[in-house]
Amino acid sequence: MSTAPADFDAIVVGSGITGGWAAKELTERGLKVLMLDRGRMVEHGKDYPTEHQAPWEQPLRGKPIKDLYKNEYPVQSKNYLFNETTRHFFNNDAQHPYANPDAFTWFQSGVVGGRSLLWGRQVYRWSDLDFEANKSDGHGIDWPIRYEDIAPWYSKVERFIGVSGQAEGLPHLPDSEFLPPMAFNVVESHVKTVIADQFRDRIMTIGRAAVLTQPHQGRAACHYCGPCHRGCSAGAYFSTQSSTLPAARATGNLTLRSNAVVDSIDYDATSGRATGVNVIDSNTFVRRRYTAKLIFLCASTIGSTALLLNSRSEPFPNGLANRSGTLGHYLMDHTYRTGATGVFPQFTHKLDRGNRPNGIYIPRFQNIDKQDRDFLRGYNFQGAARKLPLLAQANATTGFGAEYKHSLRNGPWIMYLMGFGECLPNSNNRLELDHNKKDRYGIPQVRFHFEWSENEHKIRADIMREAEAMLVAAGAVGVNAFNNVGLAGEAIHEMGTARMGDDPTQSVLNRWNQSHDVPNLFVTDGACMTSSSSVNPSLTYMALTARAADYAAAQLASGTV
Amino acid sequence: MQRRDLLKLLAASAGLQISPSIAAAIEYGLDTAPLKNGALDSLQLKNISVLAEMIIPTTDTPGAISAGVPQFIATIIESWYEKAEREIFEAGLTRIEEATRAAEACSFFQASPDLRNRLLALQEEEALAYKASQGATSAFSKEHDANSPFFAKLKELVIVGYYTSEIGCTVEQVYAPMSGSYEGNLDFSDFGRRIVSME
Repeated sequence: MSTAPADFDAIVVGSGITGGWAAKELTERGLKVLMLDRGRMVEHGKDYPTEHQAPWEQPLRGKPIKDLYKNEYPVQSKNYLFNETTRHFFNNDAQHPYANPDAFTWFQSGVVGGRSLLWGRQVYRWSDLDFEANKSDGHGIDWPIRYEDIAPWYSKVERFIGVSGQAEGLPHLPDSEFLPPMAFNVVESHVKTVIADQFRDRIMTIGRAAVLTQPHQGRAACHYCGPCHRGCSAGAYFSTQSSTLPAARATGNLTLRSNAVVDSIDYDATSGRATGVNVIDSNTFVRRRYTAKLIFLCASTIGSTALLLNSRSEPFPNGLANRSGTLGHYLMDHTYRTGATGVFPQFTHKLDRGNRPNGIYIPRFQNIDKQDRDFLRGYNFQGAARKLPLLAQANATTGFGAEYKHSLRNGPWIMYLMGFGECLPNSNNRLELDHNKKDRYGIPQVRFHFEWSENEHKIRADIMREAEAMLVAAGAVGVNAFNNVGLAGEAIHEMGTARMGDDPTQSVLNRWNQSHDVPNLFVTDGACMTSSSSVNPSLTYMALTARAADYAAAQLASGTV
Repeated sequence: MQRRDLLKLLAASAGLQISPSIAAAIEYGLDTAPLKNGALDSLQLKNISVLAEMIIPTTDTPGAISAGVPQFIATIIESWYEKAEREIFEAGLTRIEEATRAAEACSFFQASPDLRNRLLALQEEEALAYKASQGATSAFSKEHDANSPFFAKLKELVIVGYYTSEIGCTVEQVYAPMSGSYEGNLDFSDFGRRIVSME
């Protein structure tokens, strides 16, 4: 081991939702931090070229650039947000491929800020219904933490990022520290009332979103333009650029390097510590090494685990921090693309104004206090009602001419409900490195193995049944249940593969997101998750990151790591 | 079409665009064939202009020609369509041109309004028969069907071109790109138009 002082107190790999939080928390505790991201730099505001672009300003009016997408974005172009207003934020699949896109859909960003720029902004606390799930039914290992361990960190994160929503007092979906909720529209209010009257086991609430409904922490309230994912120079939604990066920079303790591809982490067997990271400049391909006392992996679920698997040494022939052999295993996502739509012609005389970047939420109502379904765990619904989109109505309406044109000036409402179902942890669902397939940096490509289990299929069947029942009860017509089972990864809630646990032989990380095997190494992104819940995970990632950073900084100060 | 069938169709089609997540959920796979180049001739362009204006005419608001729809259609055909799609489109143009020459000994764009309407209605019937044969009630039908008949292609391009144009957004509809709030219970009668945002 070199006796030279480390370049930095801490290195944070990745600058997305968790990397930004790690950088903020560590720099605010006085640590000199290097944050690395393989993507190009995106500066807040100035690098949002399509923000507020009108439909008529878009090339080909939004039609795909077919050859380019096929050749350079074959995976990313399947993303629901991918078009010419967002392409510049996505991974170029030709430059950064993985081995088998036919087994798992890996949606990736290719810029600093990562998927914090593109995320759906839905934020919900997990509860002990989630943290105790593995222990209760024996799938996976027990979480090493409970709600009370993370609750104060949820509060800390929420106070900083700003979460709009409605308190409901549900024990299994704890309330956040809320800014005022966004408004329902007339159809959603109607459906909410029907659910309250006819479905006593559940409620409908407004989506809880990391979008500001009033000015907060120097950021402006949402102006309801709609497409947050083009970037918001007002900073009305949480992203690294709008929130954590400015805070980290303000400390004077942050060094940020973009275009920095981390290919491996060095380990010193004498000290038993990770000593630094090896970085390739994505423009020049020049290699260099950075050293630090602490390493935080926030490179995304897949990215962080792949980096550990590629960091092999004599003491760790199967990947750094992998004495348990569980690294790469227990990959999870949520069920997706299952639900129902229904049309509400009875509200045709009503309109809405403003593009609300949020929808409705029906918290999990299955298997809460007792096992009442033929599957384990459960699901929630997310959805929204809106006027039937004009282009859809126009294509579906016969005729042409003046009468046709004027008939399109109004139309019915449509509502969709889509279920997000919990995915059981399964050792066979995993990722590995394919050493026969390398990317342009010589890094082995990720190869996935994933199959949905019978439990997830049963959840999907119940999602369809319940979605249809609620829409029909609310008076919708043309109710259309759908179940399009796709590849895992499509819900973009991929998690697991470096799970937390108390037993070092069964898990990669301890209760502080700290490697059992390498005490100055922390993984705080989705890779750390021990189960998937059905609840959107990002808020939990943030809270775990802030908690781990606090712990790591204290350990460093006390000389323990 | 029965009202019930229309609503079912609306629900099915709407699924494609109701929201980003539902769009992702039910629309998959982009058409990835190579680009095809080559300019349309002036007769084709004149006929396209007349056809576009027939679908979205000038009424109390400007129509397709004022909104630049013919230019948009030409761009798509010349630089975006696959060869097979372009052939379907051009064959449709040829059919109505030949039918006009037989009936009135002039080009389609010069024909009597009555003949033009009848010819276009015939094309629509063909498209409706095709749609029926495709089982259009599935919410998972692709947004872009390369094999759809001439009229379906024409109408789709006119609609996209018109309602994404500045006139289509700001004159035909109420364009509210940054309303500053969300109001979900307004009366249509106060506006008489759809309220549209940038996406």
